[in-house]
Amino acid sequence: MQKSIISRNNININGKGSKAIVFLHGYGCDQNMWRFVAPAFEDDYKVVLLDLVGCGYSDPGAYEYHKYNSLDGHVADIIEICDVLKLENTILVGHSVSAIIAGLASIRRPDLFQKLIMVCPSPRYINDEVTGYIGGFDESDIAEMLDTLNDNYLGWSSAIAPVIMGNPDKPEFSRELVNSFCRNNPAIAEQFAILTFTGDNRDDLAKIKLPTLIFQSSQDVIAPMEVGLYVHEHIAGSSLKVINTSGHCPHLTAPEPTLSGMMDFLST
Amino acid sequence: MNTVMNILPCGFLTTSKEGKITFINKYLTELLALKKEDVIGRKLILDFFTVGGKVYFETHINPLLLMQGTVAEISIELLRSDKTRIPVLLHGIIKRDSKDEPTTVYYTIFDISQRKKYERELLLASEKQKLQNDRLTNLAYVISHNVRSHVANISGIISVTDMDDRENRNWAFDMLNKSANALDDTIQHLSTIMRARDNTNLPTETLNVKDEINKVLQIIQLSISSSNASVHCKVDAREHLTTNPAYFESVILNLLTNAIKYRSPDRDPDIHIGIAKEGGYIILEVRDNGLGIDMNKHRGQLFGMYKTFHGNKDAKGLGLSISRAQMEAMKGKIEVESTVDVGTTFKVFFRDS
Repeated sequence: MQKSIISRNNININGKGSKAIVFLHGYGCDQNMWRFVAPAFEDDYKVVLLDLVGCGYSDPGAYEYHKYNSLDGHVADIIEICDVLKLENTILVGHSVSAIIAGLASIRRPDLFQKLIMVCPSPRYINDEVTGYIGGFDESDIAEMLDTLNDNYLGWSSAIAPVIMGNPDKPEFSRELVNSFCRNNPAIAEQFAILTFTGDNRDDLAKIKLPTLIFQSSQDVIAPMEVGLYVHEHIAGSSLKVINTSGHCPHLTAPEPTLSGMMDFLST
Repeated sequence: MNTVMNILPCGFLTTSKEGKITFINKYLTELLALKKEDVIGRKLILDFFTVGGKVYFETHINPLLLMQGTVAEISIELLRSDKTRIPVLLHGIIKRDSKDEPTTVYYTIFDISQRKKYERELLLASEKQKLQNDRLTNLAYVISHNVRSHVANISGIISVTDMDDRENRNWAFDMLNKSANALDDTIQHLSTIMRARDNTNLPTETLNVKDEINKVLQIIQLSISSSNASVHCKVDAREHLTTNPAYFESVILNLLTNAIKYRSPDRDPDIHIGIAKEGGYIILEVRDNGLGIDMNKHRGQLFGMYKTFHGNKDAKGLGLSISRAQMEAMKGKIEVESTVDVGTTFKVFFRDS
């Protein structure tokens, strides 16, 4: 059981601590996203990195279109992982859509988790005229976006290039790895994109009862400032930390302030 | 340096780590119909992308640049100043200072308009090929299945005929005559499809639905009587449908033979055929009281190639996948509901023209 779950989600565990911190990557790439922040937790935590099923080096055979047609499929995986690995009082860190996945997991099993860190969360990407909610995108933008994403396979082909990790004897092979951190099966990536960008989890925010830290980039076209403020307003007792950086990945563009924000939050 | 960049036969762009444009070469300003002074220090690289491109940049390109230092062969569209789009191939590399802080990102950009056109042509050609291939598969199935059913019917009639009984002989002759005509119809329909030059639209005819169903029932009359099945066809004699006759016959024949083949050992087959109109479709429904299919287990694979669900030795797992392909070729669809040991209902949707 444990073994199959580890390969299903390509789980990597490092660190000396007893308490776990679990990192969830968002739409697009895989657990490599956390490379500038996760190692800093290894002295005090058991650091759990994983790929959502359908992404990175998760088990391609584990992908079921039916199961992963809603975020619940991923939520169930996260809960299962915590149960099987017997993780308790876990800190859950989620980026982008996975911030929502993390929130949903905490609602379903509050006993498993102690604190929640949401990096650039958005409960809904599409503007809602009825309530005046600003998500940053119009309905038509999403269709155009799916076309663009569809058009680009990042070198993915059905015969996935052999995985040759940093083989110094054969530097010519290192090119095989170009783009591999963000290379996913196009059909799966499309389903995940639809799931990510057409979802509406606004009503779930109020159900999140854990101490929660929200990171917001000062300039982010995917989750603009209004969205971060909305999330902050709707999760009672949450703290909002604005990182002065551009882009949707402060853990990549501004790892130091992101890391110190996390550390401060975890030490209180 | 600037002179060299400006005579390069490709686009060249540098940005700060925040994406602010710090240099743009002549090739790129011309490609995008921009003025250099409107861009440098004023625009972000994101401003050159469509909404989808922006999302792609933020979720793939920029993370890759920061994680691995380079990106290569990224196909993306750039917006020109008049909002038209131009497909390009983008390569990027990030430069870091001595403290490993990113400082500058360098991009080269290649116009791939011609290549994209060619790629689209290739995609269209492969799409066309696929349609042709599907049609051949469908035809092969109709030949092996429908024509075989006629032949089975004919030999069945012969085997049950008592040649010494004059009345029985007359009955058999009449039946054989009907079968020969029905077989001829099927072959006619097949050759119409084969002669059709138009690959995207099937040849169609306006059919009397009840007559066509009766023809199919006649083909399988012997298996109906030997399995003790009762068939109730509630279709008004005035109902008509414009569709391809060969595929129509093939789908109905397949659903009816399935209803008999997968009957319950505990009860005689009871098959109901109904018709309805809804949402621009004429819907034919075939409901049986047979073994049923575990929908929780098999929902996703029911119409898949080579999938079987009852451990039946004769099942090849072709019928339903072909029926779906044929319904799709007729611009219709097929749906199923089923409960184990209660029965199965198939609904086939034909476009109401």
